[in-house]
Amino acid sequence: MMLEKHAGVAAYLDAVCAHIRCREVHEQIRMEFLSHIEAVVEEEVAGGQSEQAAIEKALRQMGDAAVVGRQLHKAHRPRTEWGLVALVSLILGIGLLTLHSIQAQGLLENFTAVLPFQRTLVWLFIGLAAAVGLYFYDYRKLRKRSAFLYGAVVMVLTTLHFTGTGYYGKMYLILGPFQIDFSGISPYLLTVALAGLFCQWKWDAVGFGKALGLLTLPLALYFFNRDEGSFLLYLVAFLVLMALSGARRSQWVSFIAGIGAFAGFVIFSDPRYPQVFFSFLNPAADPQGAGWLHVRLQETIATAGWWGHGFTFSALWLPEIHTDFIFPYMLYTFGWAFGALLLTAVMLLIYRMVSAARMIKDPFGRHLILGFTGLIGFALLWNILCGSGLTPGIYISLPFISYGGSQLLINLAATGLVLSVFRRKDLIRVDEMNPKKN
Amino acid sequence: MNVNKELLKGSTVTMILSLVDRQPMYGYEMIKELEKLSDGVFAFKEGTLYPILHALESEGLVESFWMGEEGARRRKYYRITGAGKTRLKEKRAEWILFSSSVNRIIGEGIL
Repeated sequence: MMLEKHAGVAAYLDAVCAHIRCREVHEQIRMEFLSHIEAVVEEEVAGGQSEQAAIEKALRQMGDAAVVGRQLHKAHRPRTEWGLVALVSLILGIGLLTLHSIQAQGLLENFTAVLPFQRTLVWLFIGLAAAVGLYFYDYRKLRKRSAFLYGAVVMVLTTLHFTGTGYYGKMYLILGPFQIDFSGISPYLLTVALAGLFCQWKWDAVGFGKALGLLTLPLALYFFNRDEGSFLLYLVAFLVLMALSGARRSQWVSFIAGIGAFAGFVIFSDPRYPQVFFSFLNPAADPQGAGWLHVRLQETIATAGWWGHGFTFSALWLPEIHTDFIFPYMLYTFGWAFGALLLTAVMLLIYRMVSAARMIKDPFGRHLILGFTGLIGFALLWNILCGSGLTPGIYISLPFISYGGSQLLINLAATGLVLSVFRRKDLIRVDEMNPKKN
Repeated sequence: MNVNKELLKGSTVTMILSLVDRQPMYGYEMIKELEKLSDGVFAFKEGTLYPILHALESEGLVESFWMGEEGARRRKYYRITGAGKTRLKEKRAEWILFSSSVNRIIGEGIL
């Protein structure tokens, strides 16, 4: 029986759906109602009714389309994770305040960019536009493109390695007036790709081999491009997604052991690295040389006090205070209390993201949120630890806070995507054909 | 005799959870089952069942899946989740306390 085409039935379904703002559920509700109406009509016809009368009766039994539609709308109202929005706004506010005071104190005079605070505001608006766009975008469409995305990112990284413009050793992608830190934002793009690939991954021997390829290709590129920060971020996101997609512990351990052995090899093969590493372990051994930075960081932390030194920071005290060492600047100027506020906001943000992910039924959506949680959470904590002198010299900028347009943009875009997943968490999937065994 | 709608309101969720606790069911099946088990007392507008089911699903108390062979009619089944079972237990205890207290006061049907 094809009631879908029947004018009365179609009009009824249209009238119900007209009240449900969330378009993505229309198809589901139509199918469910149609199967119900068909069942009623079949029974009535078998009992001797004419089809027309049966349809009318079925529709009458369904009740007023407006009432039903309004109630269904209530059940499918898009949800916004306002807690996440509030925390990100708070962290952004802390960043803007800090950056503004760095600029107002004239601490960035040698810096080539004109007015970093104003530039950041521009990037903030671009980033917010991207976040809003992605919030309304149906993130599920990304899943089909994950293999393509992975390939594209690896290709651009490879091309940049050979043709990119170096800047502090990193390769930048030049697009018209923009210098894009593609290497820096690529772990985010790869996380989206991996979330799509890993949400249906088979961790058998073949899957393990393929995963090994997926891991080492970007890592090798980061290594050759001397982007240790992205190396670490990609590794963390990879391990999080790997664990989430059901990899066995032995597979985990072999990846970590492999990377560890490689790191050990690198540390002792290039004289630059052991120096960085040992100066971290014992900065006092060479306070004027390799240990200088760590001594400075420790002194900053020790002398900051609860309310800081106010606006008395000297440009010679620490380098890179608008990016890698923005946290120690914050402590120096505003004190431990301000640092504690930031740390609390960061912990709450991580907690909120994990608890949001637990409510997501769609495996791709859950992988996406937890992949980003691993990435952003790790970057936030690493930078804070790094600024406190507690990690060896691998620098990762502070998400949402450090100066850097492409970083701000990608972090806001990631937030938009997380909200997009959360917004659609109550969507019911058509593709789930088979029941789980109870 | 018809039951007052207000009386029904508080217990529909408990009844629906009890139904899907026994086995996964689709909407129309639930309506017929409710009618049968209540000897025709509970014959409510069918359209109102779906918003309740969808709300239960977004609360995570039930989950849905489609079943049916290609070509034949596919139906959307609902089954109870762990959180749903917990909620049902609470609701059931609440109902027993409520109904036995009411019975004591109006003086009937105490077993």
